[in-house]
Amino acid sequence: MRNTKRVKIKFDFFDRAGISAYLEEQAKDGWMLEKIGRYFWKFKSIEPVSLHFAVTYFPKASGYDPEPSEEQAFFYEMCEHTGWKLAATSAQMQIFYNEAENPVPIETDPCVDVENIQKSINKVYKPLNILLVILCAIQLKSSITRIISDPMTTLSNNAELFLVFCYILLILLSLYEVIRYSIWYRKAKKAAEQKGDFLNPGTDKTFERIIFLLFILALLYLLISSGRKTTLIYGISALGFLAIRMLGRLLSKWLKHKKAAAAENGILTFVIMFVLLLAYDYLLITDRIHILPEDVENKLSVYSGDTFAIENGELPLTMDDFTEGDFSDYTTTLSVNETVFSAQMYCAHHSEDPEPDIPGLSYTVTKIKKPRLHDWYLEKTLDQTFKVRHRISFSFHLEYIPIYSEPWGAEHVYRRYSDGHPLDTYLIDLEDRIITISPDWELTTEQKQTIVSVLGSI
Amino acid sequence: MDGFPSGQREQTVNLPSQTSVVRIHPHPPLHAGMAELADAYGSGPYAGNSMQVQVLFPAPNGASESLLRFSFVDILDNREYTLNTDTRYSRIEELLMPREKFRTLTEQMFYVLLCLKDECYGMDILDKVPAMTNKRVNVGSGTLYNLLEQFLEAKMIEETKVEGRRRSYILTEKGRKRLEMEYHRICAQAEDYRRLF
Repeated sequence: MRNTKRVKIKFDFFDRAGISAYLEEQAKDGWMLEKIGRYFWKFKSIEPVSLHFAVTYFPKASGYDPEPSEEQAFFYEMCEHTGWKLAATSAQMQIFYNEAENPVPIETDPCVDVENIQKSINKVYKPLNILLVILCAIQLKSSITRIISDPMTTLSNNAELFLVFCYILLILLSLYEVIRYSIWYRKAKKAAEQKGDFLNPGTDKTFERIIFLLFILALLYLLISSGRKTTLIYGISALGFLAIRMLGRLLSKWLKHKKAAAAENGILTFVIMFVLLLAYDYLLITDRIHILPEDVENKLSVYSGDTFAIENGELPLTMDDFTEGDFSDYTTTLSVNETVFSAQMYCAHHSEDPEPDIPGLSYTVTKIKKPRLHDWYLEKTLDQTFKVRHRISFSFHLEYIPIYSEPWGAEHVYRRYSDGHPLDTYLIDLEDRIITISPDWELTTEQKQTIVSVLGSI
Repeated sequence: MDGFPSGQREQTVNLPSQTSVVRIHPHPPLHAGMAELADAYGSGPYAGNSMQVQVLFPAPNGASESLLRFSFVDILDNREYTLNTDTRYSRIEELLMPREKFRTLTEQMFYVLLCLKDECYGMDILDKVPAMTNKRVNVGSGTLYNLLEQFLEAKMIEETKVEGRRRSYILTEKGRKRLEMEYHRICAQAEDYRRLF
């Protein structure tokens, strides 16, 4: 027979009545609460007994406290004076039990009780949720700005859209919690003052479950619509973030064990985790660390979707299609991003030799699945006039200007200019797609027609 | 209220705070020199933001009923507030300031303060209150802890001794006045009851 069990937490933090009733049932079944973890409660086996449980909140307590403060110890003594013994704590939540048949409750004044809970909510729970709303709103604004300024790239990127969706979900969930407890406080205060009743906040996980379900559906869509390589990279990257999170928790526990002050513990843990997360994020984005071994990455990079007609992961156009030469030391890059709105394929064929005179080729084909988006994509892409500032503080101005399109065999073609000087970057506007191509040489008419013919039909 | 004609005229005044005294003045300059007509000690009940004040006399001759001026003294900070009204038998709403903490004492607050009339250990209050009320009133340990904190913050009590974890407290002058105010309110309620039954 087992002596301990772990139960998933199914009550909201401030649902006193629900928690007490549940613990009383467990005691009758022979289980006593021993420890409150982040996601699970640990119970130990005891002789079945009828006990009273009471949940109260000590606003000054913190999850980072190395041990109960003097004030907390005084509070525990007062409770023990009336027969209430401490069972377990979790940050501000203190759970007591009493063996007497009709003990005097720990909280006997609903007005004081409501204010005490409100203090606890205002200390950490509410500020954290508000902070989350603000941070997510900032990120969301940044994402929406990117979508508006460059819809062709961002609306083809399922990871970007997934993040936008997550920000929205987080904002909704956090706002819901803040509003829910604000409403509770108003009603509870009124009930306490006018009727002398305590209105329990209760547990309401319906909205949380809906948000979680939407998140899972979005995650599944992201994984299914991404290539195998991308999916694996996402999964392993996420494990990396989880590992950093675990490290943070271990650090916090170690600091607690070393009796570090709560504030020091909290700040140090936060700062170290923040720095580690930033560093990890930077290394991932700049490709300084490779999640997968190169051969595995190459194998998984083979495009297997059906939006673009590509066989065996071969680029539709390479340097071989334009000129004769030995391109065996050239590297090829092919990546595809796809959403319900559009799919974007990026290809590059470049020499590994960094010598600037050796020609290379790169191009992007964006297939637009929703025709209504076409004009918007084109307008915003053409609108992107960049002011680029170089390290030594000079800047230049990039823009797309329409050029004579007949040699291309397309209706509209644009060329990029820098401060009035033509660059080797072209934008070709076709009915169902927009192509950008950057060859490192001046194209002939025949080459132009090859580009439109091949990339216009994949 | 001796010397004033009797007669009841109920006029409800919403006062933003619990007071000890309500004075009713005739609007100057009709009765210059007459400081006040009557005192109405805490005519209750006081609920929310309103307190019913009974004006136990008709308006003096020549004085417009509508121009009676009410003032009240806030016992806790000793300031006098004045409300002017030009509406007869109407509910006057004048929120001069938001309702402050401890303007109304619950039964538990009352007995905790009562226990601290003399220096007393905080812990002992848990036993004293049921003892003095014949077990009618009990104060929970959590409630007591929070009330002691709040009373300390509001300077209604002060800590006199700390011996390890045993702390003792006593009422301050402010706390004593507040308790007295509550006592008057309860007496006024009892008086109203006796008058009717």
